Amino acid sequence: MQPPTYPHTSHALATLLLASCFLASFFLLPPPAHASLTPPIASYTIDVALDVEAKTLAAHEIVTYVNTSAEPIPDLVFHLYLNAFRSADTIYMQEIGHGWGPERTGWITVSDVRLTDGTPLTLEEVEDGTLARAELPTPVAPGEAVTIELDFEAQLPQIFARTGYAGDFFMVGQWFPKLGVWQDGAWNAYAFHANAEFYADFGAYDVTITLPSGYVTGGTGLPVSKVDHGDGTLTMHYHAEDVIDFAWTASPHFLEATRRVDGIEILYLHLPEHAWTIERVLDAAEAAVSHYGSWYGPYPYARLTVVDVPNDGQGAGGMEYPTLVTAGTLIGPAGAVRLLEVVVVHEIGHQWWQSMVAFNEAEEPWLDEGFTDYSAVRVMAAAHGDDTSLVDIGKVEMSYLDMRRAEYISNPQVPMYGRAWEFAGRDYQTGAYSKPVVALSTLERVLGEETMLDVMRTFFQRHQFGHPTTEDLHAVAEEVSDQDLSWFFDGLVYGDGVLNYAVTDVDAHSVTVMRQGDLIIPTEMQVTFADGSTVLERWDGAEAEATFTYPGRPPVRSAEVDPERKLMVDLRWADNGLSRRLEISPWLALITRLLYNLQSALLALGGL
Amino acid sequence: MNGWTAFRTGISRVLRYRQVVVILFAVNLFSALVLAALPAWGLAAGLGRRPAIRQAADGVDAWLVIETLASWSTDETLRQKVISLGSVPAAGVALMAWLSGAFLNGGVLLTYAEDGRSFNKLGPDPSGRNSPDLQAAPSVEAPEALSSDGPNAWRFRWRRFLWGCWHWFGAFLLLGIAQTVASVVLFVLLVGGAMGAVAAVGGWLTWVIVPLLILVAVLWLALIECTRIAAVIEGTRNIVQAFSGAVRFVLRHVPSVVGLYGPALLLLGLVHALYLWGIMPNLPLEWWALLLVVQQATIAARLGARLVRLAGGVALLQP
Repeated sequence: MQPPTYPHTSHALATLLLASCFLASFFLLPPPAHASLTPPIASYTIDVALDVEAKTLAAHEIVTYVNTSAEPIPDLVFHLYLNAFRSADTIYMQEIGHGWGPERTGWITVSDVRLTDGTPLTLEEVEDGTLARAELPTPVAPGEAVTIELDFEAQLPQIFARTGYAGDFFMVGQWFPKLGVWQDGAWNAYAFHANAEFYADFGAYDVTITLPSGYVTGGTGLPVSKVDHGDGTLTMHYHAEDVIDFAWTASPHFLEATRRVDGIEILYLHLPEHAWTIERVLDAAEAAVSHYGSWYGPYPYARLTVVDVPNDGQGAGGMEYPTLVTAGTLIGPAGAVRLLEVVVVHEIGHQWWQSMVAFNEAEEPWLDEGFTDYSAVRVMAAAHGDDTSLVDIGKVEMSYLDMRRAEYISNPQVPMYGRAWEFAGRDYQTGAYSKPVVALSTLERVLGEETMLDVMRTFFQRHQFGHPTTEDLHAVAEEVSDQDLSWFFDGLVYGDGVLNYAVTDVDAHSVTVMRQGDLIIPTEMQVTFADGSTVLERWDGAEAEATFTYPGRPPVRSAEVDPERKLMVDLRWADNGLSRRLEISPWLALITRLLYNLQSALLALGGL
Repeated sequence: MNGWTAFRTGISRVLRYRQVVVILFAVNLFSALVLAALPAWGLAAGLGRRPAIRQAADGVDAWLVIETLASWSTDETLRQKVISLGSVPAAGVALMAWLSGAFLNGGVLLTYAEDGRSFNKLGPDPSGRNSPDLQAAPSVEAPEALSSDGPNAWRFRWRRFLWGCWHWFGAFLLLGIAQTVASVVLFVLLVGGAMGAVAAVGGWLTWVIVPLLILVAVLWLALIECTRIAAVIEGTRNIVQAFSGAVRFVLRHVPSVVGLYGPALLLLGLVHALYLWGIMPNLPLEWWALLLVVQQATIAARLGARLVRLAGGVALLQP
């Protein structure tokens, strides 16, 4: 551990500062909107100063931890996430394999760790320095609390992975010594891995940020006070309850745009060059907050802050923190390509599926990313149409679900369940995002929309402010749907099997269907006869091939397995149906278009 | 002659020699039909009996495109099918465009250049070596009385058209290759330079560079087309000589060239805009017969707009 260098605020100055903040709070800004909704476990009071030239933080932190387990806890384990960027040799940088450089250096050093009675503690770095452990002189007994103080100094990296600076823009996340989660008799805390995100207990955060006047800030929770010291600096005081993290942002260029939705203030901190995003971001945020609120449960906080990031700081975009998310100002034709909306809707979804239902993102990333993205698919469809939720350019349409299905079927043999760092390469994207979206959408179509919504709502309300796992989801889903869902959990969540159903032959009086892949999901087949009559067959898919015969009926015209396309996980829908004869009219329609495109190409290339 | 007058002259010549539009349209359609045959057969064999083709017929269905693209890396059979069915038309389009363009341009330009002149006066040299002396001929748009050749002076002459096609075929083949290479090099240099400049100076420079690039593109297009026009008007098959003549002309008459190419490209843009935003959004794609008529009419209109530009260019370059 490096020696302490932080010249922390004197008690007199701190007292004066707090008094100023307290007074200012009466005149400037509203108090926090609600009392605690859940008993705090890990709470933090942090007084931090930002040096905008050196891009450093100097802070004093007080942590109060309540032992809610049944056993005494002998030590405390902290995450020191910024140390992931202190060299190219950290686990994080090794897993990324590129990108580290002197300008991207980040680190955090902790000093003067002590109990509130002054008893000094020793903080020892663990693994690559992104974890640190402090032995307590006396274990924390069940039901008891321990409070420690520490000072820390941190260097922010140039933004490339969520946190840091880009010019005079600062997105400060994963920035303070933060406790792991005590569960099953041990600290659940892993070194910072490239794919892994975060896991923390709920608590209260009280954070004061001192930085140059002229900077506009945003942070988790609500601003309590703003004090201009008259010496070119100001102090912003934020307070948040029932949250698992605290992140903040600052820029002298931020402008504010607000909208109220269901009593919640949506604050969009945007940069002047991205003024074109204001309405789109606020519309997306409104759709997200109102839909998620009505589907799962209300957003219980008074404010939701959406942060715009500069073009050279896009590495901070598309990230979620409690009551604060960052957008991604990806350029796309307004109203046609809705990547901007997708990012906003997705990140806000994490308010429900991470910030309130706090999954272990390191051990089960599919839960928070999958639930969030599945929810985002639904919001985008509700707001912009089932087929046009992502792209709507004339006859070219694409839904957000289409995009996720594309990712899935190009790399389908990946389980969803697994620790973040156990997924290699693009398997993480498939396992945590696209496959869960496609699988949950399949489950929705099989169970029915209302039942699926009931499952999701029950799961949310039962585990709000908790740390549920895949097993908890399994229990709720089977309880609410009253069905055996082992095909979903064994086949799709834990398994890497794939499925393609196809009609392989249509005769006058028989139809042959085939299953490719070892994933089995019961389905239906619709047979249409020459007189227009139809039959809907159930097929359990257990056998790799099955033939259905229809003696004494009119000749079969066509057959289609899974005619309603419930099985989003089916790798190829194009072979789901087969007719006895050529579909002449649509074939001609396609040839007509092909002909025109060839004629256009001839014109363009040859000057005909 | 200024650009606007040349543009109007181009319209009148295109309307006068409607046979040219018909010939070019027929060649375009026939070439496309030949190229479409193989994919059409492949589509019938691969998807023709699948009900999925019904969804594909009513627009660009994302899921079908996605399945095809996603299966690209995993399905060897599909990959081979698409390559075998797609590579022939892809290569064929370039080859056909090059050959038919090189062949037809000579006849088209000669027809417009000889507008109002008699076949006998401007006929091919009996030796077969010398090209017609078009510069000695009366100016275009000459009243019938001045041409002294009677009403036949404005008739489309098949033999002259075919003679023009054959006479400049070799030269225009070579010119096509040279100009394709030069266009690619110029594109890379200009776009690369523009991107570098924007990155170095700032985003605001885009507002200056994009109009400049458009102007350069228009002038380059004019240069390419004027080279062929100059070859026909000057009666040469020496493409270097024709290119030099075109460069001299374009550089000396930039306002006239822009005056012609501006409205001519605007006309082409209007045809495209009408098709893309006026007609297609309201036309169900599965109504293939109506779609066929609309699309072929659009192709004919685009051909006409292009020919107006060529005919106007001929009028502009003729003394």
